[in-house]
Amino acid sequence: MCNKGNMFPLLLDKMKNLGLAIIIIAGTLSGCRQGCTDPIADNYKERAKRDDGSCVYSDNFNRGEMLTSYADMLIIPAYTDLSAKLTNLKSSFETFEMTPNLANLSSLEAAWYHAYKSWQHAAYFEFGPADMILLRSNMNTYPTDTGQIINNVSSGSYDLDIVSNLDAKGFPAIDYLLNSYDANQTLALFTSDANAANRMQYLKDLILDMDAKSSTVLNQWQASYRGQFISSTGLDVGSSTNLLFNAVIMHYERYVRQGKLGIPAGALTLSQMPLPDKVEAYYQGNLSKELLAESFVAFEDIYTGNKLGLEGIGFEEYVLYLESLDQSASLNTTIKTQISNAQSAITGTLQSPLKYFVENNQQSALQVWDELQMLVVYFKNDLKSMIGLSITYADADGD
Amino acid sequence: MLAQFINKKVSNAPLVHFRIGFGILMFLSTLRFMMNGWINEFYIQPKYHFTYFGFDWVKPAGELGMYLVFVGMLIAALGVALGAFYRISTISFFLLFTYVELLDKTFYLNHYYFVSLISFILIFLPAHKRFSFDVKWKRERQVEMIPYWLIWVLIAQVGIVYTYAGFAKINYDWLINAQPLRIWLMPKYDAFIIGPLLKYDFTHYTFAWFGMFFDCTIVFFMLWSKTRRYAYPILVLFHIMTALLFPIGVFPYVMIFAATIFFHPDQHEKLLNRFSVSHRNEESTNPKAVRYFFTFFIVLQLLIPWRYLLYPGNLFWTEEGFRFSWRVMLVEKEGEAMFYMKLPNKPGYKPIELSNYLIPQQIKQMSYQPDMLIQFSHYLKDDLEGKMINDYGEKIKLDDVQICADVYVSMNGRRSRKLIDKKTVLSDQPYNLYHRTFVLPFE
Repeated sequence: MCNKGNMFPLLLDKMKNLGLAIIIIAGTLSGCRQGCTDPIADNYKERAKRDDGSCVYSDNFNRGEMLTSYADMLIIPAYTDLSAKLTNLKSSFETFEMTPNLANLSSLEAAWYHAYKSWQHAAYFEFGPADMILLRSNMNTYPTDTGQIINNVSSGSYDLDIVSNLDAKGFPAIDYLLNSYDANQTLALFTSDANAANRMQYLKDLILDMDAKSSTVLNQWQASYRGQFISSTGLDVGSSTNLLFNAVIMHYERYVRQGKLGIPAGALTLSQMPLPDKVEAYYQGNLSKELLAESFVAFEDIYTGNKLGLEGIGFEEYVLYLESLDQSASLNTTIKTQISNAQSAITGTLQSPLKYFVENNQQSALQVWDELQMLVVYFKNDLKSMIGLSITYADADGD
Repeated sequence: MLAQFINKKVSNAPLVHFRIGFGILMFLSTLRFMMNGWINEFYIQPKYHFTYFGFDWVKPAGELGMYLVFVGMLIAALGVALGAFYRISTISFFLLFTYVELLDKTFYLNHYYFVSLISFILIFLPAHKRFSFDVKWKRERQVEMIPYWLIWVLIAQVGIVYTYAGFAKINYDWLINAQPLRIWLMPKYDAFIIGPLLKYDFTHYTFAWFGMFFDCTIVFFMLWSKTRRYAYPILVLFHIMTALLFPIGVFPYVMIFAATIFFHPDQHEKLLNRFSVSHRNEESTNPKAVRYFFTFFIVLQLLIPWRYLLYPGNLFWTEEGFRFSWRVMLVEKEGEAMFYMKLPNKPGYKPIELSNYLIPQQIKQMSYQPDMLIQFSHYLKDDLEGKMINDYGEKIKLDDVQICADVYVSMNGRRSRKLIDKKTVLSDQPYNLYHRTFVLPFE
């Protein structure tokens, strides 16, 4: 027989083990195709084909496990990958420095591109170690200040760690150095130009700086911050869940939705004038849309907690657990639908190069900008109140 | 018969106990407020304050001033507890406390309103004529017997709080959906010991229905001598439970103490008699004016919570007539307000960064309360009007600037829906107490 499992839930705590045993034995003996088909339930039956409403969720959702999953499946791997890609960039640069030719320039550019894509994933975690050294501003402040770069190159003396150089470094500065002219001219700038040696040195310093900063953050996560992160399992203002949630939604809102699309599309100006020179990777041009799409993939990964087909425990599982207690909620479906709408708006509507698209098809770009808004709302209102994150220590009486 | 009942001379011990307990609790809660750094966070850091309608002239007193206000409150609370310079102490405590509450409605709590009302009532009650420094210092003649109605003013006030809080719970979300209890309790599934219970529907509904019956009936059970001895322990447990589960500060303790006013004066007398012998001196004055005044006051208290009936629409959604009505723990709202500036002759909506103007607590509260949204839009307009801005390279003078906002609110676990559309020019909307037609309907 198929166990219907409609026992009074309060009794379940005591009867959990016994109940589970009965369910499992009954299920095995009968070999029936009905059962619980929800993978996060205790009595999930892999062989069950049809859900018979018997799912039992007696174990709590464990925030510590969720944080561990985030640290080990998404955050540390993101920094590991970024560091690996930057090491690659470093060695491509060394080859190019030794033998500056078109082939080596092209593989240098490719290495830059792979690292830039990898960065989109790490960029969401601007709290703790990354926040300490302002990783995001150091890596990806754009539009880059070409005047400042030219000054730095020609003078040959600069301190990359001062604030005024934030917009003369990182991926956007390399974009300018490598992509603002065609390959032959660029090669000439690094070989025969009067400032060639300085330029080569500047590029080297930029890459070394990025590599060092990325390693610093990765090392801190591996050495001590991981432990700190996974052990702060509360929901109050300084808890890890709160830090992660706020960092992610703030990055999505300000640096993805606004930075990568809204500002270039003119959505933030009174005159609604498109500002094509504000796109990410302006000089390479073809990459802007791809970076936005990649960044959105990273956002989806963070919501689901999954990475490259590997199932992790993320906000999605958290929401599903709470929904299993409250049948009337359906937040996960809403968020997943909205993610897929936004995804298809980005990949389907926007066209490369983005800098031309925002000028020629501004209205379409603005529609995508609008489409990306609801996720901010669902995260900051619905998800936040469902999880019970608090923003303050102050008293409340619920009004 | 009623006249006989209310003029009956009874022991003044309930008032004496009330004065002492209230003074001590207020001293502690003021101290807690100061130690939490809230003076700085709430009243010194913010650039802007959401004043109450008609009280826009109430402004913070500056850093030194605000600290002095709180020190004054501490001294006054002590004065109330000790019965020292009682009139001056109660008047100063009422004025200082109410002044602070009027500064910013962001920090409105029903229990602060309750404290204001109680400290106001205490000004007129002779709670200092026994077991007090005023008597010791011969500033007052000791009195032990007072007309019963003086105690009934407090009974009525505390009774209104419970009963109206109970009436307010008779609504669809509370009883049928067990919201917002469900959304508050569910995430606490890992709480110590009781955590496992908090996961289940059964628990949410039990809490909701029990809470409603408790609030509606507790006054009756506390006043009836036969049930009082069972009702009070339940009341204490109830409040301690809420203190453990919700971040409601000192409110539960204030209520546990305030409910002692329901005990019969003879029971209070038994306790006080151990410390202060009764000579059964009667209060000589029984001023009619004060009696009429209190009658009017209580009638007003009975009426104010019903003013929401003057407004159409869903009260929880529009919040028109919501405050000062003992609607405690009734809604969980989370709002996202995106503010924009707009010029009449230009197409774009330029986002405004709220954190440049408001602290997180203010942003949170404003994001679902239409009156605060209007207030802030007026402030923004005044702040921006006529300014030259560099709009991504374009120099623009902000003439006739309009403030708009897209506001989404999630209420009691429902999906977010729009409260205000950015096509509404918020800064053109009047700030008054009339029904706000631009607020999108709940349904």
